[in-house]
Amino acid sequence: MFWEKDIETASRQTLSQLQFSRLRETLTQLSHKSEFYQKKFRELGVTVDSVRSLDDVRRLPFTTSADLRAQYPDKLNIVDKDHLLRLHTSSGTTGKPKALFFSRKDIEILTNNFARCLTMVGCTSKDVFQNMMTYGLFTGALMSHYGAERVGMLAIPAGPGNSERQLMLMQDFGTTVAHATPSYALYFANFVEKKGLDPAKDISLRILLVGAESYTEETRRKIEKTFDADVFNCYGLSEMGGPGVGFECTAKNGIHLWEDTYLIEIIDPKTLEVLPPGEVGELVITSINREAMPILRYRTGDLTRIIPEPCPCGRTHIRVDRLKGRADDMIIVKGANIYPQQIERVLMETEGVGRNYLIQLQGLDEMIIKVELDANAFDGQVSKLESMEKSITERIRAEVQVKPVVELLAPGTLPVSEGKTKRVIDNRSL
Amino acid sequence: MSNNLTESKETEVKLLSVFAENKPGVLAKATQALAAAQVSILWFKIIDGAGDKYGIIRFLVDHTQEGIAALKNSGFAIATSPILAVVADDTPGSLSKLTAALYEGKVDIRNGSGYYLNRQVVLIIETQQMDAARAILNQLGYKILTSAEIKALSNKKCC
Repeated sequence: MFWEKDIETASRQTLSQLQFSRLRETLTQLSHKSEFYQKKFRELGVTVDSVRSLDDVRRLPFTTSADLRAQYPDKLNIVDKDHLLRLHTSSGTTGKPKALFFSRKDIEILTNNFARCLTMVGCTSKDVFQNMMTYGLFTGALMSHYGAERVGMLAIPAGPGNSERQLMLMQDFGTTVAHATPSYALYFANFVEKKGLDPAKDISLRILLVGAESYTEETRRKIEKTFDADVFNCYGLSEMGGPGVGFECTAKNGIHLWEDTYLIEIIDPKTLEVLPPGEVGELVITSINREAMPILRYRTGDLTRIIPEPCPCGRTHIRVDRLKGRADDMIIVKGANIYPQQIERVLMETEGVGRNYLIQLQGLDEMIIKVELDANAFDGQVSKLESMEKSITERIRAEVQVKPVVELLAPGTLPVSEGKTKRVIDNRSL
Repeated sequence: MSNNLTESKETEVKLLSVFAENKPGVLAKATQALAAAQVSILWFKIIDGAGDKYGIIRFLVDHTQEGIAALKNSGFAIATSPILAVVADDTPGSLSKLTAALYEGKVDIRNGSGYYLNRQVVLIIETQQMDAARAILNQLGYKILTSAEIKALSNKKCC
């Protein structure tokens, strides 16, 4: 199903022309109104007129997370205050957050894009949408809420946590679509089972929109099986307007990013050179249809690759692969570069492993992996637990070249946070 | 094999196995859950896993189903395994006679244990060859308790 078939299936030529004219307009606005970008343009000797094709985007300056913090609170906003409609901030775990402004037009575009995403995965006005994301300064919940209302779904602003109430809402109002983080989806499944209910049968979810944390294909399958529902991977970041920057379509093979709103590049995070399609690198996004706060070449820190083949769904907007993790998620243990997703993949492939895990680094470079057991697979035999522990240890060692200490835990013992779950705790005394 | 050798699911005696991380308070939490559900523990044993990081606590209780529900509701991962609860004489050579018979019948005992219940010795035998073990013990005249009999015995006030 399409929300706006014409634009979603537009030819490459149409999309490129649209992108180029929107990029030029963005640069014109910035060169008039943004002190921050005026300075960057001067340093690089870039003028609007010198950008003659989409390829010239690589001559434009990058914008980093640090730039956004440094321009706090409002130095990146280029419209008058009376044109502003909304402020969000992006999680600042340390120091100042990133302040993000949106005009009426910006909100309209983001709402429409999210409606596209929902329709793409099969949501209609008949669906009941339970939004388990955090309402507030975080973009995740409000933007998706607007999109759901745009489609005409009955939107339930449940917010995160409070599983008892989530379950009640689901059962009493017949929720068919939920929006959650992968860790909460798994935690909630555990909760439902503890109530003696079967998440596949006793609640009527048919679609789960799962995002805000990266997760593996194995985790997707686990969630799908548990709820007997389709899980779609959502991609978004507050800096680019929140959720709905891209979504998987029903082919479940790569995330479509809306190219009438964003210009997409994949760069080598070390050399900063643009990589050819298909190669893995850092996703860089330029907003080309944004009024209050256009951002050029934003370094997302997310690692992925462009899938060059056309998508069977008929959409022409670029597809990127499941995110390989954030460049800044990487941990270095005993000299080895490790992405938590590598460990997650091994765990989720292992029979008997439950739904939550934690990687704890401590002492002098020791890696401890705490793994919850699957209550349903436990058979009371010590020998089975021992062989499972051994098999996880060996397979992780083979995958990341570091031998972990694996600790088996009872189901439901690891903490699940309401926002993004912390998978790595670094207590090393280095 | 004739049918009367196979015990029905309802009367089969089961042990509850609880996964337990090796940290303070786990045994207390499990036993409190059982106590709160008015489930009486007849016997228990802790089996250590490798490296002392976790273990399995095995319980024989009077009310099995209630015990399972109580532990599950407290968040424990639990499993059940069928066992034979055999009444034996409290005399020298009693255990030796029984194990010799099982050995001759090629029954492999995975776990064995014993305890006193109302002045009787009850041997707990865990094996994968339940039917063979049952047949041998029946033939030798041993009394194999049903879950109802265990419940009844344990509810008798002793002394």
